[in-house]
Amino acid sequence: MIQLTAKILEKEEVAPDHYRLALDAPLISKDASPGQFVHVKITSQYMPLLRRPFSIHRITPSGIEILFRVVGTGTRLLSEKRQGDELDIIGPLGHGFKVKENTFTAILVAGGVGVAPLFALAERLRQFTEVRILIGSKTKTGILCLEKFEALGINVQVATDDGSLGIKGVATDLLEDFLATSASPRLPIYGCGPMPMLRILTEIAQLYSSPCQISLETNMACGVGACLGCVTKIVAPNSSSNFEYKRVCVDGPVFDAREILWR
Amino acid sequence: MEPDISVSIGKLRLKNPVLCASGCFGYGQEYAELVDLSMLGGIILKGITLKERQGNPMPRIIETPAGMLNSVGLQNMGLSRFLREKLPLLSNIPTAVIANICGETPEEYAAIAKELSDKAGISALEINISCPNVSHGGMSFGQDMMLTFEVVNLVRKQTSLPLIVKLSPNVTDIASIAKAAVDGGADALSLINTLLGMAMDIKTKKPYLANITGGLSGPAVKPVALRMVWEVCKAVSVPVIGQGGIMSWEDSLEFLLVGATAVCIGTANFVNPKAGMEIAQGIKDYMKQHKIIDLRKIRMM
Ligand SMILES: Cc1cc2nc3c(=O)[nH]c(=O)nc-3n(C[C@H](O)[C@H](O)[C@H](O)COP(=O)(O)OP(=O)(O)OC[C@H]3O[C@@H](n4cnc5c(N)ncnc54)[C@H](O)[C@@H]3O)c2cc1C
Ligand SMILES: Cc1cc2nc3c(=O)[nH]c(=O)nc-3n(C[C@H](O)[C@H](O)[C@H](O)COP(=O)(O)O)c2cc1C
Ligand code: FES
Repeated sequence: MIQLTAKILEKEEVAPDHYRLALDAPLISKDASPGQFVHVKITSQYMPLLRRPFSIHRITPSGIEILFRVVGTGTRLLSEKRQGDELDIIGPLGHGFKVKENTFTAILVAGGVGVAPLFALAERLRQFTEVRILIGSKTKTGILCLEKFEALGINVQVATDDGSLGIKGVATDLLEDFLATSASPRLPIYGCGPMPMLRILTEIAQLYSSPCQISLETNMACGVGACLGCVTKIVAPNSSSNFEYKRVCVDGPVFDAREILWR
Repeated sequence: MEPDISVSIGKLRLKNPVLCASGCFGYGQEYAELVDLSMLGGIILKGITLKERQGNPMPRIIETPAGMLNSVGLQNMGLSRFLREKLPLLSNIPTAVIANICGETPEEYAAIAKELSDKAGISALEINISCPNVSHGGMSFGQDMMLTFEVVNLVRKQTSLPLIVKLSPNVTDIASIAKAAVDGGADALSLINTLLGMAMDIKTKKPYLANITGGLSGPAVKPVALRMVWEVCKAVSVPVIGQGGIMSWEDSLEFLLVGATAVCIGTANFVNPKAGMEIAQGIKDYMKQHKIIDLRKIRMM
């Protein structure tokens, strides 16, 4: 973990309201693994005051990339940065995806901008296993990185709510179809996306006894485990309430899906 | 000549007047990779309660204009696990470590104080009678003169460590509470804890925080904090640790000018983990530039 000033090497509008930034940060990328995140100070003014967390989208020798959707003030300001501008970032933070080298096919499931960490993961996994990614979004403009995954030789399937690309439906429909027809049992699943999607993903994974890891998002302040602001409910059979609060920033953001208490 | 920026809080000598605030710096270790802890005047630990506390439901934090609301609710592992798991690590921290304690009854405060009083690695106690996010104890003690006196007095009898009492801004007359704490035996006062606040999500028509209300901190609270520190400094003669919205050495100077002996950095750590270090250096540079040798000399005329 290090705090540094990173120059924006590349900026690309990958889709309406979606941007990719490549940051000059070799000191972060050398220790980074897929599923970890960086905590970005967007302005020196007080609006927004706090840093904003972004998953590491790509890990390269020269640094890292992030991929984000504009949802509010912070991401709007970030989208207005230019190539050559500098950002104060802290990273790599948190626990990423655990990858086992002896797996068969790995299945990645992304909702919207949830593809962000899954691209770094795909680049890692494809070195030793077959990778498939199932991407869902409201409409076709929200389906990100399609060509990039295909260029890696990864099988991509798409679902959109309005049917404008791929099947009409959601990413978890694709997952159910795939698992129902697949001959190999217990394929590992990796997911990132909105909470309702992750919940359904977890149920499907349990049904097929697939190990499943998911990346969670909560509001964060410190990003390093000090403030206890970012917690999520984790099943704890020994606790009187059957759960305990764990910090998404250091105990996650990637969790074993079975650990999450969804109530 | 190098200016001397060390200060005394009762018997406690700090190498500089910049502390990191309770709940905003964990147990020090969390920030050790990013911050040179030896450059801080001290660290105040996350609040410790007698029994483990799970804390409040999520979401617990939401950003508001120039600030943030939190309703963490004192999530902590409880005294006995603290003694086993965290205390052994504290002796390695190269600056003063102050334990922040909170109870549901005056007796609980006293029990925690007694346990912590002879432990290597802890140089002072801060009693939190100002947490706005718990339903029993906490702020309710700090809103009543008699209860403030009672808690402080009971703790005083259990410890010879320097005793700092942390006051709540959610009161009508902070000077009277401050005096009650000093009468009870406080060696120093620290203020302000967070201001009780709220934020609504107009999309869902619900409060952003699961706990509905939370404590406001960050630059937004600074003018209120400064006014209250000024009021308390006029009313008592013990050292005062000023806090609330400090982001820079310039902000810190404002608190020192109205009479604070030291300052605490809370929310600023989240924005810039090096804030405490940079503020300590900034104060030193300011004194050098203005040829001030004694920090007490920079008080308001
Ligand atoms: C570990 C982690 C990794 C993340 N990785 C990515 C990433 O790779 N790409 C990316 O685009 N985003 C990512 N996010 C989410 C991102 O941090 C938020 O979208 C961002 O903080 C919003 O900041 P803002 O100032 O623009 O919005 P705010 O002003 O804070 O919020 C504005 C509006 O956006 C909504 N909003 C806030 N946070 C989120 C959220 N997390 N998801 C959806 N809506 C939200 C709020 O409800 C509000 O209505 C990640 C979050 C976490 C915790
Ligand atoms: C997330 C968070 C947790 C806090 N936890 C505690 C605590 O456990 N005990 C305590 O006395 N104060 C706690 N505080 C209050 C701070 O120590 C500090 O007094 C307050 O935030 C004002 O300073 P600031 O504006 O610089 O943050 C907490 C504040 C925040 C933001
Ligand atoms: S964001 Fe502070 S503990 Fe996770």
